[in-house]
Amino acid sequence: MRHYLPLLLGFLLLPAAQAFDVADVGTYAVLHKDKTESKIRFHVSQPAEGQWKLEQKKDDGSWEDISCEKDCALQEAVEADLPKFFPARTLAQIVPSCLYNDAFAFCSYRLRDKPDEEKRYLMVALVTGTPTPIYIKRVGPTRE
Amino acid sequence: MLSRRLSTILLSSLLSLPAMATPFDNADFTIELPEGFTGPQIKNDPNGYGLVFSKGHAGDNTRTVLEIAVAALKDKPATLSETDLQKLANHMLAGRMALVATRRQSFIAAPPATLRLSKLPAARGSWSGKVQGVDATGSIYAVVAGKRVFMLQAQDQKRPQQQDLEAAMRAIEAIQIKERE
Repeated sequence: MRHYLPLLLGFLLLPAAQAFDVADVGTYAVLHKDKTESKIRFHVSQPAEGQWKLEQKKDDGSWEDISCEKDCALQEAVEADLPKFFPARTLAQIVPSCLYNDAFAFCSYRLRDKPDEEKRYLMVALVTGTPTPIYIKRVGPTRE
Repeated sequence: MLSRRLSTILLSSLLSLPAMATPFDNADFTIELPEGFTGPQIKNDPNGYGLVFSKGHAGDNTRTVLEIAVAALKDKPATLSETDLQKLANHMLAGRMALVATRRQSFIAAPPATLRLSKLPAARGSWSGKVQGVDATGSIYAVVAGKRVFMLQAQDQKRPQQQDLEAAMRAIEAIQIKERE
């Protein structure tokens, strides 16, 4: 029991899952297996409080709004949603904040044991199969 | 004696018939599998199921794959607007294409296309890339039917002639999705 106490205290002191932050607004590139950037890019923005917009970059360089009107709109995940995206062993290591719909979750996270490090990002493919992480990189705050 | 001879003739004529498309039917859909495709191998899925059909190629160890995954959408109204059905299909496709991109080298995707599968709004993305060093190509389709999502894909090694891949794509594009509650 004594061994678990610091771990338990650590959990209690860390923030619970929070909403995807306005600071997370920006462009993200999907990474290949070797961590090089693919051409698939998403831009996440927040046109209004609690409302999130997702755009995908087209080959001609323009951006297409792929946000749903209502029933598949991106929602802010609450603590109870997180086990749908991550196994317990992962949640023991990270503090994620996610937007999600039926297709995927878009998450920022920090490592529990390195809370001062910069945020990292990933997508989780949902729907079919076991939820699977897709590694992404934040390219910048604007559409690029 | 005569009937045995007739049976022999009938059997040999049946065996000499060219292989035909084979229908595969279950509670969710009917699909005409192209000639030579066998299966399914069943994939476990916490939200539904996956079926993999494939056709082997003489001379190498590769197979053309036709995969159909069906999953339940939770907390969804039974009817979505036409626009949201299309957008949701686009989202499903975007998520799946991103997943494929992470698993391929030299991944290139064609711009997603909208189409109709079984009269429903659907999305299709085509890609090429290397799988374990081998050049491969494929198409992924997403369609939402009621409270179910169908992810379908055809994939093959790059070949001078892609008739099996094209046959798998035609089969997917002609799928008949059944209505369910």
